[in-house]
Amino acid sequence: MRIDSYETAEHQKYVRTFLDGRFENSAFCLLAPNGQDWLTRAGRGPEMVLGHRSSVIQMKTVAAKYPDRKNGRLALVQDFHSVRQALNVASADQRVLVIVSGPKEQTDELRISLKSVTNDECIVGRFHFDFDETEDWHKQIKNVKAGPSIVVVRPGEFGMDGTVMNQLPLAAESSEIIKTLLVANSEFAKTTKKKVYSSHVSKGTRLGIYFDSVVPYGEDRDGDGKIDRRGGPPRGGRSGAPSGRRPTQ
Amino acid sequence: MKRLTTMWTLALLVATSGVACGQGGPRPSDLGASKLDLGEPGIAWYTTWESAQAEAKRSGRPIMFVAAATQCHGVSGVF
Repeated sequence: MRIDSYETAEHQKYVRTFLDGRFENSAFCLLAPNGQDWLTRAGRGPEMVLGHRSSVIQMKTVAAKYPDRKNGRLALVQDFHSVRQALNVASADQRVLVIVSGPKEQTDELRISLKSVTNDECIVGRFHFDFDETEDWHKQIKNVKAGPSIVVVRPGEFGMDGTVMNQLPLAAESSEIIKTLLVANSEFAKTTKKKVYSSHVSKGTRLGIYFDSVVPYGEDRDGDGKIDRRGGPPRGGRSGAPSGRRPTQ
Repeated sequence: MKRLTTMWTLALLVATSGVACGQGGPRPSDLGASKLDLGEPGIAWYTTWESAQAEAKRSGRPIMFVAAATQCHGVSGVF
């Protein structure tokens, strides 16, 4: 799992759990399937925990102790806490975002039926998926049509907006969805410039891009429960995205 | 198993290529590009604690927990 350290107060609580009460930008740990037992010590990243040279070997060793006992094609479908965050992550990973939008009873059905799509070998690892019951996020997405649908989105450069690449009804057949996604992925790859993140950050700074986090930026490296030094927009102002986030859980 | 180890290998590539710049992380100037070509498969991440834990319990597979920031000095679209 990969969670955003600044997405919710709950996420920061998890990070503090792993870092002995400290809050830092990143954390890493291997856990047993119950999500409770630690299989390694925790640290800021895999190299810190497992070592620079042997980290892959050690992860393979751990994985070998837990052979997959269930059908991988039944793996649960990914979800985000908000479309706002999904857009940001899809932009960061440079993947097409698929938003399943509709009433809860319909999206709950899609969480099941879409497994055959999201676990297809041609699809897995190439997209991000999000479910949303509202249309609050429509103002962030160009060319989106109202109503329940599966919305295929090209994320914007800074993950604050996006553009519809295709939009399917919730009742679309799995084969049609897969075909549509593969076309979108191919188009996205052909027409998108690969990010060099250092240049991306420089450009974003020049343009005044600022992503408002749910919790304040900054780290608590002494573990006193308070952020040591808060981040924030520079003087003169930098504007963030319109808020499409759901209430934190 | 092969798929799992491949995913973890990719996880390491991603995790070491540019996460969480800030006070204790890499400087913005140190951030490079992803080693993956656009459109190619990477890690099928779970992005909420609840969904990841549910899938781990279902599959019996271990969890690689990663927390990171999706911004660098407030600039979004970065992992």
